[in-house]
Order: sequence, then C-alpha cells, then structure tokens
Amino acid sequence: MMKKKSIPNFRILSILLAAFLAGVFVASFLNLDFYKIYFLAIILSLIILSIIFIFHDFVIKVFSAAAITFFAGFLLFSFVSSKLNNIFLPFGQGREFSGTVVSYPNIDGNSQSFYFLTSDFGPKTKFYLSTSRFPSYSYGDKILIKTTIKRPENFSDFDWVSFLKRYGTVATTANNPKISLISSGNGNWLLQKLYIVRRDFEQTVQKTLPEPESSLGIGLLIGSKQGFGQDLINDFAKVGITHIIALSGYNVTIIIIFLTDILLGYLTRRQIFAVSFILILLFVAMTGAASSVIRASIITLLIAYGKTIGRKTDMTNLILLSAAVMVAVNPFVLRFDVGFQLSFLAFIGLVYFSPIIKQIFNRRFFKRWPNFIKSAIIETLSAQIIVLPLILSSFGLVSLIAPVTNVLILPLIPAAMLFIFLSTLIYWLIPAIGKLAFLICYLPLKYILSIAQYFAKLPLSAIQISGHWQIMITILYILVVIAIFIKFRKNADPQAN
Amino acid sequence: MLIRKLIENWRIYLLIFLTLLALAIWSVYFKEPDKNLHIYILDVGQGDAILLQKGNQQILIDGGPDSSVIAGLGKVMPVEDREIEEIILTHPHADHVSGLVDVLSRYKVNKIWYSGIEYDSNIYRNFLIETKNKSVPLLVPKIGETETIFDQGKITFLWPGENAQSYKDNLNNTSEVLRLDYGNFSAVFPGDCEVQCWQGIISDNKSLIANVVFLKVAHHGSKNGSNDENMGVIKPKIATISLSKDNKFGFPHKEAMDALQKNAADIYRTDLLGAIDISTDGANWWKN
Repeated sequence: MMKKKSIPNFRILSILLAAFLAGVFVASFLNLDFYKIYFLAIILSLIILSIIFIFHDFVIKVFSAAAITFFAGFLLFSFVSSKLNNIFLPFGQGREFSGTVVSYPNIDGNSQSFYFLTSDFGPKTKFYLSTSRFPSYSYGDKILIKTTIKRPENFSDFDWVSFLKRYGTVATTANNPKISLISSGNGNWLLQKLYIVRRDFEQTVQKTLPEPESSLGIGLLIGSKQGFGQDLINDFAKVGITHIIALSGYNVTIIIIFLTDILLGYLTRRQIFAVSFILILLFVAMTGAASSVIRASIITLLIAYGKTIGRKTDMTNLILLSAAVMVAVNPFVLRFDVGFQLSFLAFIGLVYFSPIIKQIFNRRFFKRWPNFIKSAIIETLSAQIIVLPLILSSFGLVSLIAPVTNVLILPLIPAAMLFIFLSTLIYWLIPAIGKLAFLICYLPLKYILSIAQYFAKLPLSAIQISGHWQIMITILYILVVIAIFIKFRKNADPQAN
Repeated sequence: MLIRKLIENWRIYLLIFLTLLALAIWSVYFKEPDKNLHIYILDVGQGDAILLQKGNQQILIDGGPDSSVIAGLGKVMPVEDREIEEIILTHPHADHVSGLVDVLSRYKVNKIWYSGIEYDSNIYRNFLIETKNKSVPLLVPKIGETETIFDQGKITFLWPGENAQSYKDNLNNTSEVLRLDYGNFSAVFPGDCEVQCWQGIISDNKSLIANVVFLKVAHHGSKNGSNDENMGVIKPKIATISLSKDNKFGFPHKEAMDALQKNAADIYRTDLLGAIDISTDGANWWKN
C-alpha cells in the first residue's frame, strides 16, 4: 500500500506518454521491418496485458501498461517507416507522368520546390520536386512531369533522406524536369482559399516594405525564412533570435492570447475556445503546418481548454500529451525534426527552469528592476539554458549574446505582429492609407534587424564548437544543468510563473 | 507571462499605432530630399543592376541574376517610395533580366526601355508576361533618341536602335548602350556590349562616348568588352565593374584590366567593395 501512493494518479498518464515517445525514439534507431516484427510485438503485448490482469501490485500494473505504450510507439514508427521503405517506383528510369501539387511552393533564390502526389505508379506516392522559379506553380495545380525518377541522397552535412521521409517522401526528380501545367484548382477547396490569402498577404507586404524588412515581417507572422539572405540567416543564428521567424511557434501563442483578450468582453470562455480553435486550425493549415506552429497551437489550446473547463493543468502532462499527439501523427518528427525538438525543449525550459532562475531575481539587488525586463530575462534564459545542448550538438554554433538580444527584441514582437496585421487589413481596404500604415511596421522591423546586425558583428557574439569538443561539452553541460535542477527545484514552485 | 502582459495592453498599442500612422503621413509630406544624383552599382553577385536615383525618382538599368536586387534597392531607396519611374533592360541574358521580375511584382514601374529582341528563355518569357500582367509599356528606343530625366538630366540611346535582331548571333551585341548627361557629369552604360557593338558606336557616335566621367565597364570586365581601342576613346575618370568573387568566367580578364588601367583614373569593383555609390551635383562628382 505504501507503493501505491508513490505514483499519483496524474503521473500515470505521464509515464504512459513518456513510454510511447521512448518506443518511437528507440525504433527510429533500429529501423526494423514492421511486417517481420509486428507479430512478435503483439504477442509480447498480450503477455504483458495478462500480467496486468493477474498481478494486483499497482506499480507492476503501471509499468506493464507503460510497456504496452512503448510497443505501440515502437510499432507505429516501424510501420510508417516500413511503408515508406516498401514503396516501389521505377527509380533511375525516365518517365512521363502526372501529379498534383500538394504543398505551398517554397521559393528560394531562383528556384521553387514543392511536393506533389501521383497515382500513375499504383498507390498514391508523394514526390519532392525542385525546379526553376518560373513559371510558378500553386497548390492544387495538376502537372505533367517528364523526368528521371530518383532516390534522394544525403548532402555532406545534412540528412536529406530522413528530412524527406518526415514529409512522407522517398522519391524525387532529376534536375530541371520538364513540366507542363494541365489544370489548376485540383486541391482541397479550403486549403486553396487559405493559400490564396497567404499569397495575398505575402505580396502585400512585399509590395509595401523594402527588403529585408518585408521578409522579416512575413516571417514573424507566418513563420517562414523565405526571402532571407544567407547573411541575415547567419546573423540571426549568431545572435540567437532565429526562433522569432521559424522555430518557436511564438506567433501562434501570441495570436491565441490576442484573440482571447479581444473576444473576452463579447463571448463566453467556451465560445472563445471554439472560435480560437477554428481560427488556429485555419492558421496552421495556411502556414503549411510546421511542427513548431502545431506544437504551440496544441499547447496553447490545451491550456485554454483547461481554463475553459476550470481544471488546473499539469504542465508535464501537457507537454507530453502534445508531443505524443504530434509524434502519433508523424513519428519522424521526434528524431528528425530539430524544430520540433527545439520548441519542446524551450517549453520545458520555460516550465521547469524559469522558477529556478526566478529565485535569483528575487534577491534584493534586482528589486528595483522593472518587471517586464526581469520576466524577459527569466524567460529567455530558462529557454536558452535547456535548448543550448541541442543547439550545441546539432549546429555547434552557440550564441553568447542571445540573452541580451532576446531581451532587446522579444518585447517588440507582439507589437510588430499586430502592426503588420492591421496594416495588411488597412491595405486591403484602402491601399493608399495601407502603404503609409506599413511605414510604421518598418520601425520595429528595422529595429530588430539593426539589433541583429549590430550584435552579430561583435567579436564574441557566438562561438563555433566542433568535433570531439562538441560531444564533450554537450554531455558536461547536460550534467551541470541536471545538477542545478535537482539542487534548486525544491525551493521553486513550478506553477508560480 | 511576458507576452500576456504585453498583449493585455493591446489598446495602448492601437493608440501608439494610430499616432505613428499620423506621424508617418506627415513626415512623408515634409521630407527634405537629397538633391544629388546617385549612381548605385548594386551588389547583385555575377550580374548587372544599376540604379540612378535623384530624390524619389529612379531609373533601374538591369536587374541582376536573382532577387538580390530587391535587397539592394531596399538599402538605397526612400522607405516610402514604392515606385521606380523607369527600367532599362540592356539585353535578355539571365544575369541582367532575372531580378526584374521581382522588381515588377514589388514596385510600381511606369515604363520599360528594351531592345525588343526575341529570345527564347524561361526567365525572359516570364519577364515579358509580367510586364503584360502589370500593363507596363515596353518601348524600343531609336539610335540617338533622347529622354529628359531628373529635370536637368538627359539620356541618349546609342545602340542598337530598332535593329537589334540583326545582331542576335551574339546577344551581348544587342545591348542597349546609353549615355547619361547631368550638368558637367556624363556617363556611359554599355550593358554587355562587345567588339562589334563598340565598333558600331565608335563609327557613328564616337563623340558621345569620348572622355566621359563615368563608365560602367562592359560585360563584367570581359576582354571582349574592354580593349585598348574602345578604352582609348572613352577614357573614363571613374570606372566600375559588376561581378562576383571567384566567378566561373574568370572575370575580370587581365587584358580588360590592362586596357582599363591604362585609360581610367579610378576603378571600383563590386566583388571587392560590395555596392558602390557614385554621386554628383552636376558640377562635381565623388564616390561615397
């Protein structure tokens, strides 16, 4: 009976979810053929299931159930992966076939890239295609492609094969395929409309703001790096603010909070939840469903839902649940999507580490500091501290100046987003006034860019670590962070932020 | 959390927004413009894009090989100015025309001078489609045709006139070549003009290219664009070369550099300096 109390009820869910994620994670390394292992795994699960019924010990029951979710995760990954590996295509052969564009084309310099579906080789298969920028294609276009069908190959420093697998693709075309347009408008009606809105929005900003401000404006609102020059991307990485345009899903969080606040006077909480749920769903679809955006949407909506039904949410379960949902939808994100990993680590940092850092700022020395600066520093530091080892191991570039630049930049982001949104609406109603409205957006955007460019030039803004040092420092660092966490967490109240 | 606190004040932001909007409207109307004529040799990598600007009036000569021209324009044009009065496309090679498609989609363009040549390439076709979509008039200048620009300035077209099609064996020789006059300042922009093109201009309009102040060196410093013959005539005081570092053509060619060094006073290169700004008030000129 003593043991029974050692696992509180809400922790059971945490354990089950964590086991599921662990199953997917382990499977991603083994890459076994689903059709050879599923029988074994199901028998194992049945045995474990019977253990649950035979034994009465609570802990054994919980861990047996965890083993079952572990196998579920394991099988899920193997299944999805095997399905992709078993796709049969005439690789290396020249063919002419038709397909439908199923993504919002990404434009990069003089090229555009998108995914298309074809059923000319039996069941529907998804291809990745990169071609010259003109003529430009749109979501829903039916095209005739004449090319050699190829398997993607890894670049020297990038696991391109896994990246494409994450998007359900194992095939690509040769360079410069011959493409001709058959017809337009063959996609999902709603998505087509959403992408038109997105394109209109992008074009409006591009028409009214100079570069690179226009790319930053678009990036802030819908989270894309499109149009950023390599210099600027490097600068952003150096000063540690790439997350404002790509990784964090910060934009969704801001939009939901905006919506809730504006609608609060007019609708009940339940109605607001319904409205934001629908709007966020549309927004997620419009931005091409990047994992960061989905993660932020799920978490923010779950928190909003928790408030609606009046239940205090357990943050650990919230994080695990949203991770599990995303991984269940696409098991590849867990190991092969750095954006997914970064955004979850950042959130973990915000939840578990910010109370510890808060203690430091409760000291007398900081008492006079304005609150918004303190909370900006606390949030930035707590996210950065947890994200750092991942950045260290996957990029090797560590921004030392990040806490400073983030404190300088983050408070402006909601304002910049609101300004751009309003200006776009004004522009769509009265273009002449809208143009002037965008001049206001220019100010915060220019400010962000100036900060990034100025601090990136400083000699020690970022350090590049490579080779064995990368692994050594990463491990050392993780140990230190765990030690700090264990030592200080008792004094900190995780729900206080 | 921080975001929440900031957002709770959204009404204040709205107020700030409207105040700034009013400010922006007024400041646009009461702005003191720069009175000098600037020639910006934009850094677009291996390609040509040159912006002539006075106040909020612009003429863009070529658009470079990609959309990097947009970033270049963003740096030098007034923020509120989304209009480029005129574009001159020297010839339809990709390193001159590509960026213009972006320019057309982002800026209001009033007219385009070009050689009228027919040339089958993906990017040129899309450029022509875009001009049609935006209904921008396309004009083909005659040899000797002039246009008044920036109040006291003048452009004179020197090559190839309405006859571009007859030089199509080497597209570079169909380049629109033009002279700019602004007070005492004079300049020649020859696109990718090569031997045949230079010979044509020297035989018909030698005086119009002789001893100018500024030359945009033809064809990114190729030996086909600059030799002792044409440099001996032009003798520019300032010359600029647009090219990228380690380009696959080996530009600038040694022969061209020799001819330039013998005849030009100052030579500036975008591969070494990035964008270059040559300014003049009509009496004096300087590099910023």
